[in-house]
Amino acid sequence: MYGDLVKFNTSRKLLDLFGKKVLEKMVGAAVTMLGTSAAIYEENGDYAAKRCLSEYCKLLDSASRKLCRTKDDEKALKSGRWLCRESCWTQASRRSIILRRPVDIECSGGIRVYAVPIVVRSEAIGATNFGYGTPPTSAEKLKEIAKRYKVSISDVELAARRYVPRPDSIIKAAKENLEIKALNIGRVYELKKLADELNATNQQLKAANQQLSSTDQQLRASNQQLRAHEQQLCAANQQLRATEQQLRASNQQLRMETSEYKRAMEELKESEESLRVILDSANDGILITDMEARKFYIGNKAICKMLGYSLEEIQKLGIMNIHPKKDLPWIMEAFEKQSRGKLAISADIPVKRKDNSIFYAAINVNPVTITGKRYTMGIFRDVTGRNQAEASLKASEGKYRTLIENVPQRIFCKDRNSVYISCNKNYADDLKIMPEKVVGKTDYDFYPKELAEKYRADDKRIMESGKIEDMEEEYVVDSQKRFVRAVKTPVRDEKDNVVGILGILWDITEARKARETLVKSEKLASLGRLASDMAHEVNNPLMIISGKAQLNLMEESKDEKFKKDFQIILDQCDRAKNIIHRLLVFSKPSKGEVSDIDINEELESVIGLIEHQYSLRNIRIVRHCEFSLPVIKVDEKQIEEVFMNILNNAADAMTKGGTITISTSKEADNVRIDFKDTGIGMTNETLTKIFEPFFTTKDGGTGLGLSVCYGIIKAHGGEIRYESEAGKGTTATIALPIKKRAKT
Amino acid sequence: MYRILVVDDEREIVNVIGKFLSIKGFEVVKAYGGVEALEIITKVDERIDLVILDKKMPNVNGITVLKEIKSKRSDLPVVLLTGSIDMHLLEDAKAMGYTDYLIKPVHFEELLEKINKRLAKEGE
Repeated sequence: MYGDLVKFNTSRKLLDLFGKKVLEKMVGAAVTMLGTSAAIYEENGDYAAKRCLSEYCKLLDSASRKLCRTKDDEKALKSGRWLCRESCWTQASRRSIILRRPVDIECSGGIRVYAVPIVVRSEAIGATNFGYGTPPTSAEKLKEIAKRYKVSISDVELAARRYVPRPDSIIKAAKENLEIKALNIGRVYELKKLADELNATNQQLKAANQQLSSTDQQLRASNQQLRAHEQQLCAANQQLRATEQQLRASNQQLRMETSEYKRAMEELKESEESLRVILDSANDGILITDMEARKFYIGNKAICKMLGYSLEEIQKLGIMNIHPKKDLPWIMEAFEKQSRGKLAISADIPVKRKDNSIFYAAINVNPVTITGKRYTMGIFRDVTGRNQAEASLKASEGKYRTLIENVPQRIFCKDRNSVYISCNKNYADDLKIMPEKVVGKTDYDFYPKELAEKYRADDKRIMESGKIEDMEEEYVVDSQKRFVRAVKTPVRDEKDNVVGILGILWDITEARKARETLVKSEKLASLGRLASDMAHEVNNPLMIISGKAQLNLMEESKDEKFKKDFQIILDQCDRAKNIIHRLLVFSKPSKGEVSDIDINEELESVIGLIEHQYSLRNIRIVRHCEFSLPVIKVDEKQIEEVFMNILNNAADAMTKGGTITISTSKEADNVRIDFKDTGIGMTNETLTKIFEPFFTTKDGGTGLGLSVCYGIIKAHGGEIRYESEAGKGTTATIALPIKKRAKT
Repeated sequence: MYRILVVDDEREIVNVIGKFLSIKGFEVVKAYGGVEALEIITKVDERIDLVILDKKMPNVNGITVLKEIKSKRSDLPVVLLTGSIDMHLLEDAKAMGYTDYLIKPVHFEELLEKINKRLAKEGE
């Protein structure tokens, strides 16, 4: 016989799940019912439970164990000679696992074996089986079995006869029972799995929970720290409050001291007031100046009236503020002379009132010492009679001012030194100041240095010659260049001395632009007629010259040297034809085929033609293209010619190589293309002439390239302009309308 | 042998083109101006296979000749020669169905190519 086979179970899935006892009971139920044998297998064939009940099964099972020729049960199981094991496991149960369905076979002992797989989630984890049916009765069959199992035929016959046959109904019930059992084992296994998973999750949750509680404790700890800080703050706050009370106490003391100081001040004021009464009773203006602070220390009523300031205002001023800026040097000199006793009185000193008007005063300056400090006392006397004259002057000035403010021109007046005396509102508006603020300023305060210098020179010339000049000149408003017509008149005093200059300006920027355009288009029109006539007149003789040359070239007998000459004649005819053609295009751009063009693509195709050639000249092309530009209606060939011309000019300006940056963008209703080069640039003089036909700076240039560009772009309703700085580079800008405008 | 009528008010142009065409194996009929050209065209028995026509001529210009050809011999191919591109006149010519033009001074190979093309078309 053999020992317990379950102990060799290494898989232990089912064994551990149910335990040995439960499994044995499960097997036992089937065996009792059928009186045979039964087993439950793990997936790999290990026994979870095994039971043999019938004498027949017992006989054959132990007989076939002996056939294994080994004492070791484990080796016997794997020997393949244990016939009952081979029938029950290998042929029945293992097959049912592979097939995932019940298997019903005849066993090597002549009865039947029914095996059912145990399936969990469509995966077999084991099988269960039993033997059933009555052992064979025929002598022949029994003899065969006895021979197979190497037992005596009488033993087999006896054991077979002693089996009590079971009705079919019992067998059927047992099979169903086995199926249900397999199903239940599977279910329980699945549940166990789920329980295990739940358990694992549960443990994870527990771990997380522990972490949470430790975090919570940390939080509590930091909360306590915070509270401690808060308490510290409270303490600091209390200290602060204590300090504040101390401060209040010292403040009160200070107040008491202040009131004492006030009393002293009041006493002082009383004495000052008596002094003031004396000062104010004087008819002359009196000003006492603190020479160190260069501020007025005190003044009397009369001086306030003269200057138009209140006393408080006067105390904020100094000598600089009450005399015209330009006169200060000599006034200061006069005062100084006087204080040294070299001059009795400074007469006819111009004094500026608060409203910037000027009066003339005789001023007597004396040094005085008050409470040990040095001051200067000036006594002002309005020069007699002038006041009245001035009043009438003011009245007439009012009339003229009305006149001046209501003309549309800009009007200004400057003194002998080109310092502004006055201007009208129109002029002041351009300068972005109030008209009265112009007084004392010069052109250098408002205009770029170059322009200011020019104005200054003009002023000087006019004042020296004494002649009126009428000129067109540049002018700047909002840092924009404009053009004005300027009439500048020297201003004379009653003795006929030139004392200043009067300027009247008209803005003629728009008119000038219109005139320039007119001149340009007239030039173009006449050039167009000329070109058209010339084309006819010149091309006919060219046809004859070229024709004759071609005929000569065709003659085989001709000398090579002649042929070369004729070829040159032919080439030059083509050149002349080309010049005339370009002239025509420029003066009367043909309306060729117009189609929808993507400017970026167009640029690419032109760049493609030249890029290689440029790279040999160390010229790099950089593109900054705005994608998805709207397509525009243009004559592709003509626009190509424009791009080519501009690029060639840019390249020619960069003899040592450089970069051409091409950018495209959408700007308002236009597509804008910029060609920026790093070449030698142009002077302003060159810049004004570049579009003129036949103007060229290149050796062998026709001077038609940019004229043609101009003609083409204008015909497309676009704009072309050049900006350049000598030595730095040039930028050509083209704007082409998205919706084609009428030809201008 | 194709007969080609060469029309230009400049004698030398007619001669130089004529000489070229003879070298290339054409029979050349010469007209030194629009009036002469009209005379030749209106002669019914005069066989002409193609006309090379100057556009700008005094008295009767190329366009007038072209109109006459259009009304009298609408199937006669014409190659127009012009001293300059005058779009308006060319558009008129185009409207009459004549799209072939060359700008003077012409290259003979180009002229020959145009002639052969037109004659090949007529031959179809």
